[in-house]
Amino acid sequence: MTEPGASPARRSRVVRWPLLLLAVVLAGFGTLGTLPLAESVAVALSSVALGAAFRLLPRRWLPPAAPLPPLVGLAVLAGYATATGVTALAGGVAALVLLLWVADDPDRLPGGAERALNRLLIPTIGLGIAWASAFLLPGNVAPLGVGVALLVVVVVLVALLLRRPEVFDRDAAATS
Amino acid sequence: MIEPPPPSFRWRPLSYLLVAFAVVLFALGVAERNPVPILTGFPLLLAPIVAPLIGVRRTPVVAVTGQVDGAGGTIDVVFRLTPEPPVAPGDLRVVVPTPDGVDERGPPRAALEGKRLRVDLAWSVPQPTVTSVPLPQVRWEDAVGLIERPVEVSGEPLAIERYPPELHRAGVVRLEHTIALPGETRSRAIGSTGEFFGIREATLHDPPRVINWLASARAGRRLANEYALDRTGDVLLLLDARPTPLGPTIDARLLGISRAAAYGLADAFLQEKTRVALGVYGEFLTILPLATGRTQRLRVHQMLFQTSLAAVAGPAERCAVTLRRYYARGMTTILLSPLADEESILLVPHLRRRGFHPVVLSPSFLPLAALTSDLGAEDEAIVGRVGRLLRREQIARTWRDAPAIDWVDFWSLGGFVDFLNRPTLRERGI
Repeated sequence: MTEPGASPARRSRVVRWPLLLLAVVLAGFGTLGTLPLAESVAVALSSVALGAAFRLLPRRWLPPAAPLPPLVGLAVLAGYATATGVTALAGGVAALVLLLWVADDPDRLPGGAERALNRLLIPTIGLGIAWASAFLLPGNVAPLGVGVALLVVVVVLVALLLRRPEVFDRDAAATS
Repeated sequence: MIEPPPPSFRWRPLSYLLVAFAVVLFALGVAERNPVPILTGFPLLLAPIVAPLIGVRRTPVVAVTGQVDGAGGTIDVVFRLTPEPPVAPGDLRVVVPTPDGVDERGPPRAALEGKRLRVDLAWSVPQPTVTSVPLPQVRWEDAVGLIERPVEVSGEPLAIERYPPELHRAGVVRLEHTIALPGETRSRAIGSTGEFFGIREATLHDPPRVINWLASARAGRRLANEYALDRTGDVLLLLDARPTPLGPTIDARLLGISRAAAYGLADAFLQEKTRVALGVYGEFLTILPLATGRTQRLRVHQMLFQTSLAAVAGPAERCAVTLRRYYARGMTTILLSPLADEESILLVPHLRRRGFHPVVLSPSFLPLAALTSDLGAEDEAIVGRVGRLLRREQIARTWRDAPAIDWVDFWSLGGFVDFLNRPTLRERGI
């Protein structure tokens, strides 16, 4: 099988602005947490470097696993984060930049990150609303039980949707 | 030709990974009573849900055009994919299955050409090959790579035709008399032998002796003589597609080479308006009746593209008996067979007994066996020597019943074409 995209110019396309932006944002997010500065920066940079290394390798099964190290790094840093508005915002932004980096796949046509910018508009708006309602509204300590219940409902809905992809199918009718 | 796509779209593994991490972050936030992990996981959860809502909502349609370039064993294939709006060409993922007998020379390249996606493939063929390049398998992926949809592809498959160039000369051969009346029969078809008929524009394949140089000098462009063709007989191309003890890999390659030769021979004879028939013998005989013209050329091409190695080898006599039901005896028969086992060699005397006078073109298995061998140099030399002796013995046994040409250099058939062009040698069996 031949799949275009895996060209010799792939290596030069691994190190692009989304990778550098992710390293900076993740390191910045890490510095806002309770981890010591050196450790947080090391976690951020090593996870990003490992993700880039996965993309560099020619083996077929490693490049698709490239998002895994940065995701683990993000989860570790989020676990040590302090509960402040700035940290939460930095965490959300880091997740968005991570998605941008995922879109900049060197196995695909150049310009993936640029094409993905408008696709990330709704997650960005959603993050903004969630952050504003959590930290900017008066009485920002929301009842935890309600939050947990809402999260459970969302997770169940997502699970249902993932099992029924035809919900999103809208083919033209045969008579139209 | 339109290939129907699979029914539905699906989330890619990346979506599941992001959702799993979002759930982990949510659980972490609840356990630590900290909103930061929850807000961090929020975009990861939202992106896969939103992707199908803001992406393409129905099966995308892509028109595919392509061309095959290159010379000799080098093949450059270019596909151009034009998606219907609003699908962006950059979101298409293309997979092109590599046809059998074709190697990849370099990695494929994809580039945007305005609103089209251009895919360049660099292939090579180590041996003569005729095969069809199927339409690429295309799927649409959103920009982040979270979901994918199958794409409806419309277009025509391409054909790779690589055979020795000498075969262009093979059509001008005095054929055995298989027409009902004795002697040569005047045909109204126009060819390159017989009585002068007129002058036409020269083509690339016209040899210098056909060119009318005086007329060309007067007109300022190349003109060729055309003659009223004297049709003397018909041609039967017979392919032996039976499995042999050489194994399926070498068998398939040998059949591919035979197919390429049959393709070139059919084109050459049809160009001279000769009636051509095609038979493929595997377990049973599949035949294409005698005919000429462009339609017959298409039929021959189609049949050769579909020819594959049979699972079971039919007995040699069955082929000869069945052939006699469809074709007249005495017809010029070109048998393409590897002559790799007893049954293959037996086919020749059976054909003779039924009144056919075959000329055997036998692609040698020795170069292919050497390519696939994993022996050391010393062992390989001994095996090669024994193989050559065996091959010589097989060809010699075949010569008792019919002339057999051992085809070793797959990119050259000059000797075979010369042999066909010398009827005296053919009659004497030299």
